[in-house]
Amino acid sequence: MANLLRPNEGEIYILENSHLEPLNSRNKDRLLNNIGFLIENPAFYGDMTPRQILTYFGELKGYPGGKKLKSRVEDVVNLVEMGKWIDTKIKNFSKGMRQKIGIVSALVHDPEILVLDEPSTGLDPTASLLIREILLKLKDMGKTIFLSSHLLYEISEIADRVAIISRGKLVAIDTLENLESIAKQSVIQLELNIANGDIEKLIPKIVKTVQPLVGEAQTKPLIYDHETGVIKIQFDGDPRHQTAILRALVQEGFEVLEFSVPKAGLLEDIYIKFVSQKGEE
Amino acid sequence: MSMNKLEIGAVEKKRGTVRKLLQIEKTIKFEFLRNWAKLLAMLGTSALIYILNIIIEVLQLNRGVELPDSAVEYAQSYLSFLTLFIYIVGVTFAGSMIVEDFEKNTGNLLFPNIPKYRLLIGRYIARYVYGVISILVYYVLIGITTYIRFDEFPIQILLSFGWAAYYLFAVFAFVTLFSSFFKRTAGATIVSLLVLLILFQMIQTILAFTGVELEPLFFLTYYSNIITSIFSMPTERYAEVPFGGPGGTPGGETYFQWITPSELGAGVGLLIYSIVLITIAYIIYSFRQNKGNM
Repeated sequence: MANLLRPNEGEIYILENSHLEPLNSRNKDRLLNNIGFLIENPAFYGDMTPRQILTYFGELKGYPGGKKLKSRVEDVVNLVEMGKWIDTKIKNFSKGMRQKIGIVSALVHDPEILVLDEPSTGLDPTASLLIREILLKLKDMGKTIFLSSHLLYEISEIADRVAIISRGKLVAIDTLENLESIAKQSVIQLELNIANGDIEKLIPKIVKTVQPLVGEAQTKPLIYDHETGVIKIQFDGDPRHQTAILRALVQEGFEVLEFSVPKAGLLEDIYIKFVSQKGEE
Repeated sequence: MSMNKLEIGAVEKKRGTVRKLLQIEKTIKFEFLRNWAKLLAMLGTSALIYILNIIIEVLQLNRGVELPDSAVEYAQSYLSFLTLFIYIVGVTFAGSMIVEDFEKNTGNLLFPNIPKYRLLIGRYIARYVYGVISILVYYVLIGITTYIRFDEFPIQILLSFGWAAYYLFAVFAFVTLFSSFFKRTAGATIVSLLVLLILFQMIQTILAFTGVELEPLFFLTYYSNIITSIFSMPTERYAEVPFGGPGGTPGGETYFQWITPSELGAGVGLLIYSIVLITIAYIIYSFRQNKGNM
């Protein structure tokens, strides 16, 4: 799609003037005009500055030149907090700084669609956080973002819809919530206002309370972490069951300090479930 | 007023053509920026070669060797290092022409923005212009020196410059071909320089010694002879040279040595050479993929 590899099979359709057009060598230039690409580990000419490179990319994509392009380049560089470095040679940049310029290079011509391949790979936590914030900003600006990542936490924080690909095949695609219910798997993180030693005595009572409400296929509904005192309740992801579990616990007199469904680990569990299901088929 | 399908198609085609030309123009400008340091290095090299020639001339004058009689011969005497300089310019600018996109994966950011053929055309033009400027400066220095010494400017200097620029174009094509399949710029640069300086020369000599009388138009290096021969055109195109130097062997055996191609032969030969090499280089470039980083 990005002119980097020849396709083995299949077709790509892109919406143009309200109708879907199959991508081919003749219309490639026109159809891809509205798309920005970031390839994993972007490499730039070290002797050039972000201003020079981004101006060139903007010109290649037909962004109106002159003052308009100049101010656009400055705006996008400021978006990633790199304004101070706009005229510094890229060979002096850290990996995180290059990655930010990489993202900006996909954005400079103001495309509606962004295709980003592993934008946070190899970055330190601060840089990863900043990249996530930038992506959320872009999302708020109304951009459609295709984000490919192995960092499932990143995906769960940003994505509206998740596609799971295993061995080149699309295994599942939906919102995170719907995937939960399809996978019939989700986890509630529970913390009760009880001393650690006493919780263990109460575990059978908690199991008895939640067991009828966790839905189907939950062989071991409760996992207790001795060190943190956190209880994990595995359920089928149905929001009605989630509220029913909370209600039941409160009715049984438990003082609930925390009751949440963390998305990060959840996506990992869903991913493993879908991929292993695919492997069994 | 609404347009019909045909009119829309025509407008889109026109826009497409404008865009193609704009992309090539922007690439040329960008390449000028990127290769500025290389141009300065080549101008420095050109000045160095000129100074080297001046030093040789002064040393010869000190030893009582007289200057050539005519302005033409004098200007010609400055061209002994020119072919080497053309090769240096060629590998400096064209060595990275294609391979750089794959060596450091910079192509991954470029290819989604511009088709490879437009990128290649833009790069080729920009770098070739810089290459010609590097050589032009050397010719300007020769012209000025000749004018100072003889109070005249031989027109052959311009003709020689024209052939040098044309020859450089073919050298660019040759080095670009190496750049299209090598993994590293250093490899493409060194190997193409070695082939130009040593391999072609060696094969040409072996063929001459084995009695082949065919004009070596298939060797790129052979065409460089016209850059100096143009000063004395029309000239002998070949000579029968005795084995073992001027005295020759007792049997008086000779071998056939080609001195220069004709103007027509060089014109057509260099054109064919350039077109074929650039086409092959482009085909390899268009099929080459960088899978390592994806």
